[in-house]
Amino acid sequence: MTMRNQIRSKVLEVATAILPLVLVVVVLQFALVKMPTNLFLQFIIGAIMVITGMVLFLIGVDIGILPMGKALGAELPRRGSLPLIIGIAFLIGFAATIAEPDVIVLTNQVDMVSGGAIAKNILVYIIAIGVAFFVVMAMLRILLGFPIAYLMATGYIIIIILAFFTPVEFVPVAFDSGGVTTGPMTVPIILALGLGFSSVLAGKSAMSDGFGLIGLASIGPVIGVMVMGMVLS
Amino acid sequence: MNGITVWDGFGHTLLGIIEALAPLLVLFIIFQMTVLKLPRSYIFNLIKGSLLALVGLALFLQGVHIGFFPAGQAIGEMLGSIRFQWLLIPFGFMMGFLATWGEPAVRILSEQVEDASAGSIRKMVVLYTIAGGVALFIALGMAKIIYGVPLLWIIIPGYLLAIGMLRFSDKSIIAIAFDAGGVATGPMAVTFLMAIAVGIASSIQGRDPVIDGFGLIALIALAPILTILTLGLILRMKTRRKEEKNMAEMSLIVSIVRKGWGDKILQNSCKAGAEGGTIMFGRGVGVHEKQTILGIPIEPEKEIVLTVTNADETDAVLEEIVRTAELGKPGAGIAFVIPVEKVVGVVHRSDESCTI
Repeated sequence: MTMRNQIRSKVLEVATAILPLVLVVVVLQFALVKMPTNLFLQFIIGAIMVITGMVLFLIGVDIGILPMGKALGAELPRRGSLPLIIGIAFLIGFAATIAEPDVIVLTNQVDMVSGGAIAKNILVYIIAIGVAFFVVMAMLRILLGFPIAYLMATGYIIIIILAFFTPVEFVPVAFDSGGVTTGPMTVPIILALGLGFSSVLAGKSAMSDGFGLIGLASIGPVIGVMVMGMVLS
Repeated sequence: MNGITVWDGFGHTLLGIIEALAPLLVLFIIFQMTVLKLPRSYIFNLIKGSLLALVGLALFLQGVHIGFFPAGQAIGEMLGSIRFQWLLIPFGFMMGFLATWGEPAVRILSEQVEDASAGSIRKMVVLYTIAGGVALFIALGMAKIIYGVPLLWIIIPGYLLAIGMLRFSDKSIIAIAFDAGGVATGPMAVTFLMAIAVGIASSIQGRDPVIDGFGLIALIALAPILTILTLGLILRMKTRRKEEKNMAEMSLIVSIVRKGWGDKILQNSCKAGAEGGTIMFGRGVGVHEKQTILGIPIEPEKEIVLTVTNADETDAVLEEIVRTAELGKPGAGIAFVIPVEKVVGVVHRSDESCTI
């Protein structure tokens, strides 16, 4: 696809992705909500930024981040060194998480719930280590061919059991932390890493083994925050 | 505050994205210099793409932050004081769908699934499945806030159901399902939907915005897991039915009839359960047609109809062909059935017959 066609198709896609939501908010504004004009104007400017930003982002992910992540993922097993694979998977999982904007929002929530009993920085590191650990597990799973159903089931059974012992106010925050850690920048990076990694291994394919990294990465922080809640109370 | 703030905290967001991207970039450059050694123009494109993604994402997040977040709060507060609270449930369904529909990471995952599955799972199908799941669970989340249902009552049965479904699901679908749970909780959902939920919870009496408002994300993360696993089960049943179909014995009915009768045969055999047919033209002669003109035998034009049918439908179709083409009469033509060893390319569902 030529650059021009690509831009045109992305603009079209983003327009159909965002405009329905914008339209509903505009209708609500005039019918019911009636926010102050400056706020509404700010929403319109925001919507324009969202649309422009998403077009640039999706094009950039397509031509830059996905091929880069896949090339890196495909190169990893060729080195033949397990520590290298573990090290790099850990590093990428960790770095992507500490920088994720949503994680910072989450730590503020936890701060609020726990009444400042735990330092925000420490929490960010706990979550990031949780994510990094599970990214490594996910890469090893691809390599060793361990069934993903067992990993997921074990992870979530642990979570369900922990949920009964976690102080009530920490439960929603813990589940939220699993979701927010995989934001828009982490997703293409981790996704491409797994897809590239599995694509060069004999007997594996991107379809049957390449996915699952994001799903596993979401388990770590939930367990981390629950344990932290129990320790605190 | 009366002004319009557009660039508040933009630098902070930009910095965060650079931090997330940096390790990938640095590692890639190290690999490039030591082993990969890809052509320079290719590298240039990759770097250009990454910069585009960086700027684009910063703009996107800033837009969500300054535009959608306050709008969500305002909408939530208004809705919390609405007289008919049950209205929140269909409203939540709509907002859940639209917000997920606009989530960039959901689109990236859907596209990668289509790519990796070589098109056998379409991007749009994945998108609808994820957005539909979130819609359903946001509706549920609204009911939870209105009626004060504890989060665990929804989350725990939900995850138990997911774990139960794992037994029957293919491993690639399992991986995609849990990935979908991660991507659905992107900035649009987290900021916009949560702002609405917190707004509602804080204007309904007796609801704690922290406990009732948050926790919505947990629902958003659970929803696509369940719907994608369901999609996987449906796809699996479909392929299994198709395979069974292909395994079934099939036969080929060849009917050679007078010119002009082929179309009629095709039509009627379809009604009798055939899934299609092919008409060929030929020439031939039988005992009842021994005619000559100037000593040259006349070979009347014929039409040959090939129909592949399931063994259990063969008799019905053959009977219909005999009736249609009046094969009982002399000189009308013949039809015969040949067993077929293998068939490739029959993809119709058995409950569907062809229409002409």
